[in-house]
Amino acid sequence: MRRANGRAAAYGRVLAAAMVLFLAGCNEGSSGPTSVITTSATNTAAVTVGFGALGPSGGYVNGIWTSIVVCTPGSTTSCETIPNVLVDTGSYGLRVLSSALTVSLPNVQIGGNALQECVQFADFAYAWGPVSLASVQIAGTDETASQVPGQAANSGIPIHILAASPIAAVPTSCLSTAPIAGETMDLNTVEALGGNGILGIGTFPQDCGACATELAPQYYTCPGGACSEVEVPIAQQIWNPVAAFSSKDTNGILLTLPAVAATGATSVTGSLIFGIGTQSNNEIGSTQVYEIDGYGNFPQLVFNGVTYTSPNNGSFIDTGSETIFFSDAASLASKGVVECTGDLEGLYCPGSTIPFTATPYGANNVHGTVQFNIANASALFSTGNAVFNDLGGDSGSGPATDYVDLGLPFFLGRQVFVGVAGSNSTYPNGYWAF
Amino acid sequence: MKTALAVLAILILEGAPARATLGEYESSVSADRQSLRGADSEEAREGYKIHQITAPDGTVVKELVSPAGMVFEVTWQSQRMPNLQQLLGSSMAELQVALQSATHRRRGGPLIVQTNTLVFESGGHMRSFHGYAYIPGLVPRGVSPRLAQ
Repeated sequence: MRRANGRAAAYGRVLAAAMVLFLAGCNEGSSGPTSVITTSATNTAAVTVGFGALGPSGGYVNGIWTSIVVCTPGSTTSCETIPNVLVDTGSYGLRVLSSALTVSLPNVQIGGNALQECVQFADFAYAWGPVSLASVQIAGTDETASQVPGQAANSGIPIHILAASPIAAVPTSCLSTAPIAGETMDLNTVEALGGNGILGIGTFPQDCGACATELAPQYYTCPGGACSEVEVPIAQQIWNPVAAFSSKDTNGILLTLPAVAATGATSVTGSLIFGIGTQSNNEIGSTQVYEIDGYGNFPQLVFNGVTYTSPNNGSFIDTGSETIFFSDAASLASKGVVECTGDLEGLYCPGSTIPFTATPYGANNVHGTVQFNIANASALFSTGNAVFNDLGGDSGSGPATDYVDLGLPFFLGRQVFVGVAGSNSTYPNGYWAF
Repeated sequence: MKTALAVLAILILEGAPARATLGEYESSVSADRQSLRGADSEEAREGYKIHQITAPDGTVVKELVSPAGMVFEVTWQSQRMPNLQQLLGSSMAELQVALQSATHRRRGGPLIVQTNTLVFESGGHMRSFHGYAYIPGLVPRGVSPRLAQ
């Protein structure tokens, strides 16, 4: 891992340089280099979209990556930089591979036992391991989460360790299937995860909430190796680091990514800016705000004549989704959509590029349109590129259960704000703005 | 009698017997209700019946029962993925075989499996998951699956 870290540090410098170039491009014709320096505020992290740690052979496209610095709580020397951490607006809290960790972090204790967590994703992949306390800094910025609000100074924030050697087997109540030959469900290696961790900076400040008062198959303690569900106070749940920053930039993020050509790009760099309306570089201005509902979805989204309603057909934006997952091939056949075959089944392979419009609604009685193109996934992949704004796939197999997941392609060429729930009384469940 | 009580106690302690749900008799719904620690409400629809189990953590599971008394479809909507080994019962084995022979999982995407004998979909994001599974051969005549919203 040390070697990897060294490489990443150099990589980070390249990124920073590239970002300045990108920002300079944005400011072309305006005020020149001076404004570039102003924009390089300490609340801005570099992000890169590309193949990530697995490289071109890994099959992971449209991944968005940054670096974080993890320290033992209260220490400024027991720290390490962890590169290739996924920037994920579809989850909440920091998750790091145990194999990427070299610093020692204390476990969160519940009832005298080390707290464990299991989170499962829709495709049955899961993350299992202890909840530990760390001081979390976003690399290249002054943004640090040293403690949960209201807790002792420098006590650390709870993060999820994806254990290579868990203290007990993952509980069956958090395991959708028994092991399947050839399928990796446990996201506890770089190969399985695609990177060293997940930086969940979506709209919720914690990853559960209700676990404070209700038992659920998510948080466990495992005395003697026998795991059972436990209630976990809010302060000990996994925290979205943004909500725990020591700065005033705790109310959300602004993600800015450049546009790419229809055939894609090998990689692009952008800016992950912390705070909304807290500094000169994160003003929301007249950007359309979509208040989301208590599930973290657009209350409604209309697409192709179908109204998708949250939560059963909950539609959302998510940097952690490789493609725009929307509708289904059968429903879109009349538009010319054809599903890919073989290894690309589930993605769309139309004969020619097709334009689509989605109409998301906010809980604040607004709506707007999102236009995107869908190209042939097989043709896109044959370019060898890693970043595509026109990659799409099925969300289901019929209108009754479909939804619209505006994944990473949606974010390319846009400025998107993600407002954390509870940070703005006008939008109590949080918001997206774009 | 003692043995019976002991067995009963174990069933209560363990939460639920493994046998349950999709493709099983309606009586299996109670095992899911126990597993979810939820409340069960029943609603008659034209040509079938819905058991809705609402768990304290907000999980809503609907089990659709045919006039023949079989659970032909299960849907869920929850903050986290529900215990699908419990809800799918013996259909899980079929799902596993399908996943083994053809898997097309993409990062952040749904899981969609369609065979002649099982239709399965799982989607959403952290704190908002949803999905359903049904057995086409058990769907009552005249009933459209996937309608229990």
